[in-house]
Amino acid sequence: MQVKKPMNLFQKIIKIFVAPNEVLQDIKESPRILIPFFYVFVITILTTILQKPMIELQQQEISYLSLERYGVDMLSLSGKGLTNNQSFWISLFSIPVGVWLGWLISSVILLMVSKILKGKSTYKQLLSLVIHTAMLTSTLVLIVTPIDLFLGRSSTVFSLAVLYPGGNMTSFVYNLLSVMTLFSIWAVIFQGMGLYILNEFSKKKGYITAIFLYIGKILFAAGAASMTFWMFDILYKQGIM
Amino acid sequence: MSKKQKIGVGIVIVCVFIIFVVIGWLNRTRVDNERNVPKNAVSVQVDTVKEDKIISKIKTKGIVEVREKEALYVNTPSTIKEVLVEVGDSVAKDQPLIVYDRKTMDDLEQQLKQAFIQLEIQELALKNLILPSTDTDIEKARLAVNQSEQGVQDALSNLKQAEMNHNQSQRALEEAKKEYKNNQVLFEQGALSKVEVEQSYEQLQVLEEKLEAAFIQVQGAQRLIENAKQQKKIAEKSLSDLLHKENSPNYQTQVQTQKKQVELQKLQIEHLQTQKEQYVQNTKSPISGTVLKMGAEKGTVVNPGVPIIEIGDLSKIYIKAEINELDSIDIKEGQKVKITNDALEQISYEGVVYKISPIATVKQGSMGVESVVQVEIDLNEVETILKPGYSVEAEIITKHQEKATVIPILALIKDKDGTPIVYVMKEDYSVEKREVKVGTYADLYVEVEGVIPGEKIIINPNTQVKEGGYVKPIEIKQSGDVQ
Repeated sequence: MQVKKPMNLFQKIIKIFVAPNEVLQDIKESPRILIPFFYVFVITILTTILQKPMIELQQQEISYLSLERYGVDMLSLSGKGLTNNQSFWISLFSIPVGVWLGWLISSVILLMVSKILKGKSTYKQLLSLVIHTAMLTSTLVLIVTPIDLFLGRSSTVFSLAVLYPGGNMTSFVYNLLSVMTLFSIWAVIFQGMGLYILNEFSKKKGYITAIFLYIGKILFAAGAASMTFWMFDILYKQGIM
Repeated sequence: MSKKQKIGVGIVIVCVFIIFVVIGWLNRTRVDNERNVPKNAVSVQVDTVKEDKIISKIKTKGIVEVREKEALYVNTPSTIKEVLVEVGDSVAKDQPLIVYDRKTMDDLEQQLKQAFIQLEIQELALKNLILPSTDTDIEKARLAVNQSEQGVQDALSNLKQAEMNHNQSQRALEEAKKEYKNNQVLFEQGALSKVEVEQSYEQLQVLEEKLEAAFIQVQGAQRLIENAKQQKKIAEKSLSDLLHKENSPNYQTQVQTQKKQVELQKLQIEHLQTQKEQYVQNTKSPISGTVLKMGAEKGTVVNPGVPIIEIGDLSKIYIKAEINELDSIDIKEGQKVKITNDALEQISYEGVVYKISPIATVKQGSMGVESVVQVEIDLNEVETILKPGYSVEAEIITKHQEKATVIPILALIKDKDGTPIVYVMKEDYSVEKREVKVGTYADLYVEVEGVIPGEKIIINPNTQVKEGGYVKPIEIKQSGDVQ
């Protein structure tokens, strides 16, 4: 029997877009973690640096919305004593840490769901799948960031929020649409494929599982994004602010 | 999936991405047009620099107290027989309020009586001491001197007699000794008998005894003289004392001591009388006012130091407040004060700082240990519905300026080196960092120098606001006085 040679990083970067099946088969046979992780790490840092103007725009947006809504600059309350640069560097290093934690938790959830559905995947395979999914999305984000920067946007133009022009960060629906980016939808498809390949169950089961997990994830992300404004709303209504 | 299919999917994906870019581009243009603000400008809250009056206040809490307040006490433990008033009763000065058991009064009167008798005794003793000497006493003393003189003379005569006897005995003894020697010679020559010699010897011995007796007599007479002289001296001294009594130091001391005894006794009487008067006074109201508090009931025993009834003049109330040591430096006597009460929302009174304690006291506050200075505030109104013990809020106006350049306190920030600065928004929405000189602080506003009324300043600027940058202004509504 001929032993297939594991794909190298460059092959994966290309094939993850053009032949995701092959990448997923590779994950199944030799689930790699470290190299894709370093790739994602470097790409995320690079993207964060590139997106610095977008982060500033986001902060300006928060300032504007909070001033308009409550008469208080949320940014001046939360960022007391921190300069723009300090905030940027803090987010630069906190994002990778947060991302890693998110991967570990996502992998555990995937493993639990897979086991419930009697899948055959291992934790390592699923963690590798999650990291490769991140590889896909981070690469996409890096590619489209210049377009976002050119458009002078505070958030990516490739989210469904672009279809809700009147919305802003204070709205849960807007936040929900914001997290539903084209990359994340692409990632769901990739993850669905990965689940049925790694667990060796039907395509339908794989996609439905991926979609359910995605719905949970975007609801959580949209809720977290809206949380600050919800809290400010409560304080404002009670006259504390 | 065939290559064609893959290309088809790729084209679809690219098209979707392009559609999103186009929609995003269109939305961005529309949003910017709507806001009509500089691109990449930081959203900020702005306010206008004003010329207004500024009132600096220090807020504190205080307690309503009665300025003129007195309490009834007892000096000795007493039993209350009857209480004649109730809390809230209006009383006049010297109006009887309480009746005590007679026992204490009786005891006091008894003690007073005894003290008077004691005084009488002491005064009599003094009188006796300072009376001048009578002729009889002097005569008696002279007689005693004479008698003692006589005694001395008699003793001298006795001595003379005794000396004479002694001399005679001595001479007789000398004769007897010679005779005895002669008789011994004669006896040796056989001229005299032994019996005769023995007789002369016996005679010699008798004379020797006589001489000895005479000598004792002389000594006795000498002692008598000494005694008589002593007697005479005493008698003479007594006479001299009688004649010059006032000059005697001993006498002076005695008189002084006795006078002090009298004085002491008078003081004792005075003290008892005061006690008696106080006892009577302690049953009466010391001032005109209202009964504020009852500390005892009928039949109970009250002890010294325990207030029995408290009476206060409710027309003379004041506010006792505590000011934090940091604020206390701005407090001066005569400053106006606005007094309000949470329960009496519609009512407020005016007052003035009447007295500031010269020392600070340490107390445990909500923020830990703090030093506070006690301040007394007088109310301008005499008729108030405030009652002693009410908790009130006092706003002490430490500074009042009719015309000042004021900005919201939130606009004032400190630069890295601690210099007070404000960010001024220019007409083109650009930002200028301006150093200012800070004056009086009010609650929400501060007086500054360095900005002009009408200029727009940024409130609570966040870290994105920088000199030379651009901002999107969100103006806030303002009204009323700057306080």
